[in-house]
Amino acid sequence: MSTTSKREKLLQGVNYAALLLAGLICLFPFFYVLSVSFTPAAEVVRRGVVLIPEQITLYAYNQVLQGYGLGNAYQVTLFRTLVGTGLNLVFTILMAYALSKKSLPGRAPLLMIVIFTMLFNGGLIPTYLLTRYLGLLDTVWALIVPGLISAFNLIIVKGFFEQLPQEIEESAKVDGAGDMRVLWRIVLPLSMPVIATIGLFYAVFHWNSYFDGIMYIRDQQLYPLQVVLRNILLNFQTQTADAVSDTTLPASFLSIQMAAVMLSTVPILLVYPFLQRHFAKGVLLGSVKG
Amino acid sequence: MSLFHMRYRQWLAAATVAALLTGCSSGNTPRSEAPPANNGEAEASQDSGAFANKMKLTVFNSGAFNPATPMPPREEDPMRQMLEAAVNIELDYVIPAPDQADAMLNALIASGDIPDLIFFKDRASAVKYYEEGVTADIGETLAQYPDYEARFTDQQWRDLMYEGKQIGVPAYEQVSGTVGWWLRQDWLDALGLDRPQTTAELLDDMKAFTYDDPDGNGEQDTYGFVAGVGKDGTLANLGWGEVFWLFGAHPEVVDVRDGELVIGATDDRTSEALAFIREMIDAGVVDPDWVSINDVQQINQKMYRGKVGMLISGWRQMEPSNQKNMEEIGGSVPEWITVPPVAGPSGERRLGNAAAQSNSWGVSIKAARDEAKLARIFAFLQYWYTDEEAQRVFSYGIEGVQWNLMDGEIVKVTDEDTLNNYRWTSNYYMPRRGDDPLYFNFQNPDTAGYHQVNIDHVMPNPANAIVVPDPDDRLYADRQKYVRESLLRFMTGRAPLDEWEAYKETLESKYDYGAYRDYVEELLRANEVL
Repeated sequence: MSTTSKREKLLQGVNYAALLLAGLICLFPFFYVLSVSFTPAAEVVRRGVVLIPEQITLYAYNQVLQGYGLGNAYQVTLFRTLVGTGLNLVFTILMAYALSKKSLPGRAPLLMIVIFTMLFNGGLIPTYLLTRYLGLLDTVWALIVPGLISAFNLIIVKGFFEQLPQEIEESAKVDGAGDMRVLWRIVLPLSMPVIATIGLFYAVFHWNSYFDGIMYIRDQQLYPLQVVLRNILLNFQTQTADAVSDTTLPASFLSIQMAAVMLSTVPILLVYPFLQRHFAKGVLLGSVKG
Repeated sequence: MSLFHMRYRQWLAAATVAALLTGCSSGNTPRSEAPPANNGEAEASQDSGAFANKMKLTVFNSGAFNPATPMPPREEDPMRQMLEAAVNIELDYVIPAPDQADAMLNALIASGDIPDLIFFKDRASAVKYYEEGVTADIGETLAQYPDYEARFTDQQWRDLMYEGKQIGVPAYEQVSGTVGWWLRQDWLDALGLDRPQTTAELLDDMKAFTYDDPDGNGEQDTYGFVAGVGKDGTLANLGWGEVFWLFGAHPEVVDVRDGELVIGATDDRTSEALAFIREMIDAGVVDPDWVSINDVQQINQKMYRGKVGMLISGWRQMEPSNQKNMEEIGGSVPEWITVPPVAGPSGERRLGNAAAQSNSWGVSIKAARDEAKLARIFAFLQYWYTDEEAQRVFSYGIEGVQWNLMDGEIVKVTDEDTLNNYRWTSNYYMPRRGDDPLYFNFQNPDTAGYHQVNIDHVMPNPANAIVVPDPDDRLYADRQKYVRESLLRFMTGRAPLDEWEAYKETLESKYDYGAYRDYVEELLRANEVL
């Protein structure tokens, strides 16, 4: 009895040690990024790998926030994340609800069309043309409208709606509720887990996406965060003789890059732990029918 | 049934779009003849110089000097306002994300939104887009703007000719001799050595720098030389290229010597250089980090740390800002000087090639067909590149903010806030002169001298400026990869130099080297360089 518990304890100890090590390995790069972003450039070059800075400076953050228009980019990304996710949810839910009703005429072909887009798409240039003819080029809406409904998320939501007990809706109908009222008052309150999940999917997508920003936005005032971040990182690699003709470029651009990385990751990092619960659980939603 | 019907129609629509797209790109090919129609009208507006109607001009500049810095909105951008007011245009100045420039340009072209002026970073891309019928031959129009034509040398214009056509106009002037050999004079003095004059002396000095404790700290922690290899395996840009040049050929360069075609990749001078490099590496004088160094900053950081005695880097390395880096990182400012390259086996001292005008603006074929638009484009270029007032603004920035006129002299404002807040202005500095000391703004009086040392040892190489990859050469990329890999193997000793002949034979048999050589030769003969 006591030996088993001893062995169990040992096993547990080894487990914890291994998990702790794995956790540290995951945290290490992040910690490095954090440290470098606060370290003076000269120290980074002199010491190579810096974990605990000898000196702390906000110089890199200053540079990023002032010189590269990250403040502006934050606004754009916040707008597309908040408004974009809101619109995504509205349109996804409306379509998913309709498609979850077996009585919907033409349901099968509609579903076919939706699934078709999951496998095939028009490609870069036709999509660009479409965006252009819709008059969306160079507006924030180019970042929101083309991806209004994701077929994958739509199917998750539809699956969830389908497994809600039909009887609840029927009883609401008996009491005189219309379709919209049933959706708003009955279905949605019951569907909070799936909404939180795909809301997070959409929000993370908006926060991270950069390619649409590169393709559809020319006005640099409208660049989303990730585009600006990318440009800062690439600027380092493409230093020309002219770029440094006047400016005193710091010895290492690394601190500035790391500060940019921190500034763009921290917000989503802060939100994640609170939503992560829904995130992991939500993906399985609607997949098991009982 | 109905589903099938609908999908059939979708497919049909998709096919039509695809057909239209391909039609667009091939339909634009006629490019040689001058555009017809509305001649009189356009000439009238051009002659009078008054640009009555406002026009929209799109400039696609993937060569801007500071692409990461966002441009301010129109109201806060006096430089854009100036360009717009001068020739009555609405200027759409597009600066694409650095690594997505090609994708964005292709999307614009395919969608019919071809920018009026397109920046091309090198001759190969300028030729490619001309061949595809995106850009126009503007030779005839250019002749009507003698002032603008006089802004650049005949050689610069010639560099932008292709098959007798003027396929573009210069974007920014290239600067020769921006990198050169740097040497620690204080280490030479400490060890009682003379400056090396031959490759043998060079190697001896590198050995002394490595093993004779030049910094006198009692530790063996120094190296004679450091260089790097590009991420794509090229040896051209990070120091090794200059070592190859000491022997008279460069593995990635085509040259004509004494009327003979020299292709660096297989020239015997390259194998001599490889033997020398091999000797350097075997002697342990090269900082072993060279295998992982893949950008210029890493080389410069080696310089700031002060543990290496020779390297290849930029002309401005002893400017105060870099001296500050040396002070902060290495603890002192060593006596670095730029020296001429040592004499190779033939006695020649060669640093590299003189810069040719490789970047350019292409004028879109669509704009070139519209005579009025073409006239406006040239008026715009003429103003931007030749107007005296514009020249100041588009080389030094906004008057009263970035520079002031004192006793008739331009004095630049140098406080850090101004530099940081107006970094975006450099995205308009395309007309800056390549030899303008005020633009490059040397703070150290020695810098100009160092630059001169470099300029004195570069040689014009009209052949290399002309050669662009053959679009039909399917083996080009594979061949290049094989050459780069083989050279690295020779350098590091993974392959003995006895295999040099076998390497050349493999190129012939497997990579169709003969066809490549014929193509280059033909191209050079057609351009009368050979």
